[in-house]
Amino acid sequence: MVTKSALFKVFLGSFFIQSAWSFEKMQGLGFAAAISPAIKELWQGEKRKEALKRHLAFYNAHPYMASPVLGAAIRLEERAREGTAAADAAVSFKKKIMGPYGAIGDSFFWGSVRPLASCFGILAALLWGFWGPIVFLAVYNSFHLWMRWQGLRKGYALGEGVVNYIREWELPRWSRRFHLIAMALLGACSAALSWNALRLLAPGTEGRYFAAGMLGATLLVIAFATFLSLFFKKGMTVSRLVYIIVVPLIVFGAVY
Amino acid sequence: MLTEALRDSLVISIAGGVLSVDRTAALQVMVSRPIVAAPVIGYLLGNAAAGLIVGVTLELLLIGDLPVGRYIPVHETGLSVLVTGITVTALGAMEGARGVLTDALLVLPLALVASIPVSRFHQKADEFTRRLNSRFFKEALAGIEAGGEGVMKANLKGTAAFFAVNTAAFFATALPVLLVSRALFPRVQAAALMLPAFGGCVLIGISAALYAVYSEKGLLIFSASGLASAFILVWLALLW
Repeated sequence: MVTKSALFKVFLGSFFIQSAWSFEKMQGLGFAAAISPAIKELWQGEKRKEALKRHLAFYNAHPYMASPVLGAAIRLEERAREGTAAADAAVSFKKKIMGPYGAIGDSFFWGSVRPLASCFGILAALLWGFWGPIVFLAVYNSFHLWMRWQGLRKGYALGEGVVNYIREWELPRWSRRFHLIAMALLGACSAALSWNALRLLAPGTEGRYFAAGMLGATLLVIAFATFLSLFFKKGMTVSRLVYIIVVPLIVFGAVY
Repeated sequence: MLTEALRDSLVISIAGGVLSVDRTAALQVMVSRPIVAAPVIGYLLGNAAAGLIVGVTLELLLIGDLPVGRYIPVHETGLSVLVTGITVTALGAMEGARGVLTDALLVLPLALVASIPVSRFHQKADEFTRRLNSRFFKEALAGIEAGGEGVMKANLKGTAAFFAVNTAAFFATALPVLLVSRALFPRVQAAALMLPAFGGCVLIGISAALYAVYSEKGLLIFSASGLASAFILVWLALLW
């Protein structure tokens, strides 16, 4: 059995899994470095060298999804030492799982959790200033750190069975839900931006004029943002759109 | 002017280098994102509020820029360092500033347009580091063969490489950019009519974010939530 201290070192090492990211081996070195405290406890001499070299192989998945893979790989190395699994069982498992876990992690963490946390952070910044970055970090890292720790723990406890365990989390379904929440937050951001714009451009407005201005401005933001998002569907990038729209507006502002 | 620009460039390059390690090499707790990095850079330059405005705008613009597979996205930390650097330097250099919020809005579009092409250099620097990292793999392999414990050390050298290359790249771009800003902005009074350009940045940002999480069902939620929030804000305003 691997000690709790070694498992904790693996957990810390998982934060550095992309330290030496290269085009050839991607996270290969990072994975070997992260799992090395457990390998040192499990193998000695030539067998340790072989085990470390095994884990130096090409590896690339989402960095947070490395935790369940690390946990399962340690369990499989333990079984290999006991003689109940092949020596390369952990490597075969990594090869099999890295593709799907790369895709799931990219879509869940980069494509859903981060936009959701960003929307929370932006809305908080628009309403309460410097609370924005704090809210962003708190929302994002509650998911991130939970996945790192729970993934490693369950991976070690369940071995290859961690695949079914993570499947039960239904991450794609949660991604869709997070997208909807993010869109609702973006709607709220549009209203908060209109509020700030109105206070800046027409500071003295009150009563029904303010109400009409606020609703009109929010409707305009919603309509323009929806219209502009169509450009991204056609393959437009943010940088290009900035040059197409913002540069003429700067020129207009400077010349007028 | 040169001494101040040198000092500011050095400070924001080192801070940017530390923050940008979070992008790929270590932790990935997202302190490298614009909404965090820009206020930090703004604070170091003496204007955290302007940094927050830059951070919120850039965060909106870059929500959908994802590091998927071999694609290396826009260097958001580099862009945050440059745009915040220009904005804060310009505000300091301009005479008769009317208040942080308004003027940061006026300078930001210019800073953004100037920084986007320069930040490509940071992307190239990132690619360079990733090529450089291959040597640490060979070092780790040699260490294992020799019976040493060099895997972790070789891996951490990658983090050091990301920090060193990013810091150098930030300094190489920040110094000329800050010098030009200091020289140029006392002669330029950002006109109030620059506000539509800022509005354009924000609208592009919301649309980019919308596209990143787009679904047809969500579009209805986006519109309904926007109008409901507007009603709530109006109600609160009338109440007070």
